Amino acid sequence: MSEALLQVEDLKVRFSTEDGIVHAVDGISYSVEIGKTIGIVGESGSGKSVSSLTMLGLTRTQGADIEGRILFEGRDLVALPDSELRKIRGNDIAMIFQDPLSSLHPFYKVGAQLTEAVLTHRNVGKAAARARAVELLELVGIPDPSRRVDQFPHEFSGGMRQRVMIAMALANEPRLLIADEPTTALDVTVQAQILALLNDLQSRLGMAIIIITHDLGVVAEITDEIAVMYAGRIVERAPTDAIFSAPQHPYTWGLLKSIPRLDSPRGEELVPISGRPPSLIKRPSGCHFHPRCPYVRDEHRKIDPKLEPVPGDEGHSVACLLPAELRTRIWRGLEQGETSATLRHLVVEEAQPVRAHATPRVPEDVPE
Amino acid sequence: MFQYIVRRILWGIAMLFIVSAVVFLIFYILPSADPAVLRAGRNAGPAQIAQIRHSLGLDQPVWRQYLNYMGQVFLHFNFGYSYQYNVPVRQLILNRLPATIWLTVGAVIIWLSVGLTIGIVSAIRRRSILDRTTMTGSLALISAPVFWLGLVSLYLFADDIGVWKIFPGQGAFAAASNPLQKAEAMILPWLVLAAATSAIYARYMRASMIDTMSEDYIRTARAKGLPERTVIRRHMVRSAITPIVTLIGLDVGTLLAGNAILTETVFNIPGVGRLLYNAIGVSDLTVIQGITLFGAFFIVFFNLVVDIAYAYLDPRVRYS
Amino acid sequence: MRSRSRLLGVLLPGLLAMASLGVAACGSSSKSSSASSATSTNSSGQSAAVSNEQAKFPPVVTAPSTAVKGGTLTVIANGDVDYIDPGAAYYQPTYMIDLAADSPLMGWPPNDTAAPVPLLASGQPVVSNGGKTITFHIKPNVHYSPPTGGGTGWTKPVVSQDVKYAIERGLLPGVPNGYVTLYFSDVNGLAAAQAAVKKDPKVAPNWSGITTPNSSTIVFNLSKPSSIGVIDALSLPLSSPVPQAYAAKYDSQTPSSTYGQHQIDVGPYYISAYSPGKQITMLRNPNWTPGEDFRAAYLDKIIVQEGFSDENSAVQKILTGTSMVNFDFDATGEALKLAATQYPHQLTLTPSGGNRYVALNTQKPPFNNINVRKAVNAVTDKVALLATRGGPLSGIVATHYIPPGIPGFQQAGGAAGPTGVAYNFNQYPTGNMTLAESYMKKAGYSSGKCTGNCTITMVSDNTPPGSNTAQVLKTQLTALGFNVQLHPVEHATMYTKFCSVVANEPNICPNVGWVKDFNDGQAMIDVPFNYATTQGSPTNNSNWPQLNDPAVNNALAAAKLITDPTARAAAYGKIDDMIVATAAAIPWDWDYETNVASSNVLPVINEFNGLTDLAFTSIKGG
Repeated sequence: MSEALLQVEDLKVRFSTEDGIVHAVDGISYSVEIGKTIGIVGESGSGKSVSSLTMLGLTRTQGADIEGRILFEGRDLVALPDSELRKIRGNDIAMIFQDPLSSLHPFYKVGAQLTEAVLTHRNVGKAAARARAVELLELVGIPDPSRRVDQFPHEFSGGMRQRVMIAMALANEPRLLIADEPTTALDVTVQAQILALLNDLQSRLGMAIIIITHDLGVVAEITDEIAVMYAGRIVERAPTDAIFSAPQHPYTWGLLKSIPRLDSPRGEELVPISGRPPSLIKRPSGCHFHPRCPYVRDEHRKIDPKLEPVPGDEGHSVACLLPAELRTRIWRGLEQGETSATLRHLVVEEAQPVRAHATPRVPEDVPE
Repeated sequence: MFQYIVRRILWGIAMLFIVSAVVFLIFYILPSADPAVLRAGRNAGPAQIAQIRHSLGLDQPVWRQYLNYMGQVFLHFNFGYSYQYNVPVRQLILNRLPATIWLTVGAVIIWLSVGLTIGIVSAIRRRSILDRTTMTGSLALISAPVFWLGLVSLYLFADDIGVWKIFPGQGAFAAASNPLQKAEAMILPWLVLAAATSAIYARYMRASMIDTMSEDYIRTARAKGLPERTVIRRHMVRSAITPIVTLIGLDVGTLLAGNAILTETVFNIPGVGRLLYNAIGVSDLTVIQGITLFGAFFIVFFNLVVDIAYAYLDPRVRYS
Repeated sequence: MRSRSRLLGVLLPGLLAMASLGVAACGSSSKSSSASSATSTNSSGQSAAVSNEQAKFPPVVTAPSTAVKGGTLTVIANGDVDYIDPGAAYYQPTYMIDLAADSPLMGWPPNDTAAPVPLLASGQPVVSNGGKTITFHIKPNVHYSPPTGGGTGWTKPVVSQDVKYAIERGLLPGVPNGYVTLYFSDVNGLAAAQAAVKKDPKVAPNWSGITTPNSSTIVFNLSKPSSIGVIDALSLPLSSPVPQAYAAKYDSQTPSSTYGQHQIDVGPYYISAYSPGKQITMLRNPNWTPGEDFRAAYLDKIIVQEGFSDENSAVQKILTGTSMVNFDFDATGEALKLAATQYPHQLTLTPSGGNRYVALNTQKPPFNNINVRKAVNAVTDKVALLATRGGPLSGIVATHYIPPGIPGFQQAGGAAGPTGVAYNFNQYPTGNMTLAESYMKKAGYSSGKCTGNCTITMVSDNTPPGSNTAQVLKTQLTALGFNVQLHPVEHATMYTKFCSVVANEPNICPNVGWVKDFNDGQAMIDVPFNYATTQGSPTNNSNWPQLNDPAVNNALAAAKLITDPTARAAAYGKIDDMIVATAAAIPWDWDYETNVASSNVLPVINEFNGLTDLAFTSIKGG
């Protein structure tokens, strides 16, 4: 097993606002190994962006209250002073963002922004930095790089701009790249190109990638491991194959079920997860997912589940109060096209009767 | 770009015509002194007044006077003679311009350096005591009338009538003989004229900075590992300052057109503003027209300069 | 242009002038010594009403024996001269400059206002032919200064033809002289000269009544024996010589002559530079010989600095600074108080020889009714009006029109004014409401206050103190039931668009007044109350009440021709009272010039116009 490049230990990030304390990140732990890709998936407001911004210390100015440890090559980034953290930003750890048009400075040429990234951390001459800029543009697949290096961001197309951002992030050969929704603002064909590029760069440069997104289709392509976040917590973490083949958390099931599939029957409706993401100020009691969970039991409102390994599978952790075999059975049913309403009965049978929740449909057949 | 400039120049010329027509109209509609009677002197009989009126061209219909005047201006650069002083208007205005230019340039430098700096610092330290103090103070300065501020500063700091005799007082600029003395004489007027304007610019800059601070590219800059000072200087200020550039053009143009009249009057600076004010008092139409045209020209010119500067500063504008 | 329009008047007959020369030599120290007397006598024997307050700040009218040459005087000015061309100048402050730079045939030493003294003339003129011929000889070897603004001037000496041309050019529309027709109307050939000007306004006409038999003699031929007035008028700058060959090219410019900006002067100083609205620089005239005339000339350089718009700070600047005097503004209000209490030795109060009055338009209702006019006269609180200018220091409450020091003043009733029932409305300096109401009743308003259509219009200055005076007056008139609509406008507009235009004149013009051209009754009350003035210039009328009283008109026409000084003074005194009786205006101020000077200046005030005389003022230590 390769050594962990990055280890997040029980990270908590809170913001004080006029309305109360926002628990943006509520105790997450994960690790990233050298050269591997981890995907962090969740809805907006799940805390995924905040956690990665905090890694680079970019939430400190907003009055964030940070607890926990982020160990990068053995150093705790949370405890590091900003002057030290600055040496890591853009150097050892780099980040790219969602909207490349607004994330690049509109008044400076692309080449200038690239050389700035280089010169911040490397003591080389301007000519060398410029040469590196051209090299980087070539690396990310931008045609005619020596001409385009003198153009402004608005002269590039959306996909090209994201490549530029990636080039900028790679300027100093970071060992970890954090990609925050890198393809969300791009159309689908370009998305695929960018993902392929990231994949390619990773294998060439041997860097680890954290990719943050709400789009499971994206992570399916390039990640080794996936962490699903909900309400500031990781609710399930497993290697990518396991997430797609044997997910263990009702939320993950909801995410998977809401993706359109090529092989599902025509006319079959997508099933969204009912309800809305919870307020991070006043979170639901007990299991934070319980108001939206089709399989909720009484005690789920009181007990807060911990992230624990699934019995028999060390690499797969989940935070759910339902018994593991029950979960497996439910998933099998969902895979075969049954609805959550039907499958509820499995839960209900096991426990005391509970009040009925509103469900979309009552199914006809309940295979076993 | 070239087409753009040409279009703007043509539009500017049209503006000059419109502005001078409006001034002509105002002059003839509102009651003001009769320049022919003033020029004819005391006890002038009606015949003599009529003769003066004729020699000044005032007995012609308004539209004909207007066309004659514009023809002289554009074809011969001749702005006519002042009714009051009987010297060529062009000479009169060019004689007064240097004082106004001195006043404007110094004031601009002060209000830009003070106002922009305060705006930047206040934005960065938003909601601190410094920020609250500067923003409240700026409101006070904006509200204070310029002539009051000027008189108060004279009574406090003028070396002739002030409590603390530090700076040269009224009339010192006209009496100064070398550039150093002139600059000294301008210190109080610069400060007074720049006071309210730097307050305004501080507020604008602060607002512009706050807008810029929340932009994504600032986050990118930080993520690149740049020191905060560089982020502020190279990324934030560079963006925030661009809308301010348009303001500067308008302010400089109007100042050169005589907008500093209150400052000039209080400190007795023989500039274009004071000339205009005196001319209005005695209905010296040629001088009023002349200054208006000069002023309109300055405003048009500086607006054009500013537009070009803006295109240079913001590359996105260049292709529209 | 804050000062009111000032016109200058006419002077005393030559006989009295001869006698007063001796008196003048003793110096008119009567003013400076009578600190506690209620009146003082000037050199012409006229008593002046001087309050205790004013007597504390007497002017110095002779240069002290300690005066030395040298130094630069800065004259602090609000506005500019009316014309830099001496041929057109007709504004009292301008005369401060012209008295030092020009040499008309006659002139004014600072301590002698009785009669002008020969200046360019080599001696008193000879009057012959029954008073219809005046002959002057001019001094030899008088030379011109370098021209204003530099360049080659005129190297030939002054000749009598230059004086003739100087007067003739005053008829040109491009040299808008305001008094040439007023005082030289009896000189033969005026009509022909005016016709010639109409045909060709670019060339000065030949005035046939003025002849120059040789280059040192000039003769004036009159149609009537009004030589007194003509001799007096020859002390005004119009007759300061101008060589035709030099000036003709400037005088032919349209729309106006540009001679003023290129003038050549013959006085002890010349105008070396003129920047309109900014500054006038005067230097010693290198071609003036000391002793050539009675003027001294201690200062080396004089700078008139213009544009001081705030009177208070300007006065303070002069009082606390060095080498400064004031030009065209008085110290009033707070500034006057400051000077009087803290810098008493730097303040002088001199009678300006002028009055201020409220003109009532007698040609339209309600002031076409004499009883309404008398009522308004009776209700006016003149002390309150005077307070708006600075109170007792700034002037004396007037009871008629001829001010103290001018012949006719005593004859018209002196300080107390005419007595008797016919003048009872004029005898209450703080107003008398009961009397006013009784006159309103006589006018037909049975309640004693105006009823019915009571709207009256008033056009005033829009800057203090004129605007304040108008406000105070408005309040007083409202007490009589009038609805006063007050329109403050720019000073120049007030005159040229309203008060001096017969067709546009409102009911009341509160900010008018008159300043003498000379010490003579004619100069004070002829033009402002003679209907001939209104008929002659309906668009530039200085008879603001538009008074058309046949008895007054006839009396004025007759008095002009009187040559005996005693009879002349009596006649004008009587006319003054006649005008008071018409209640056509409300006289409220006999004005004082309040002049301030820096502590190191030894100012000499010229009693003729109450202004600092630049040819005699000096700086301590030079």
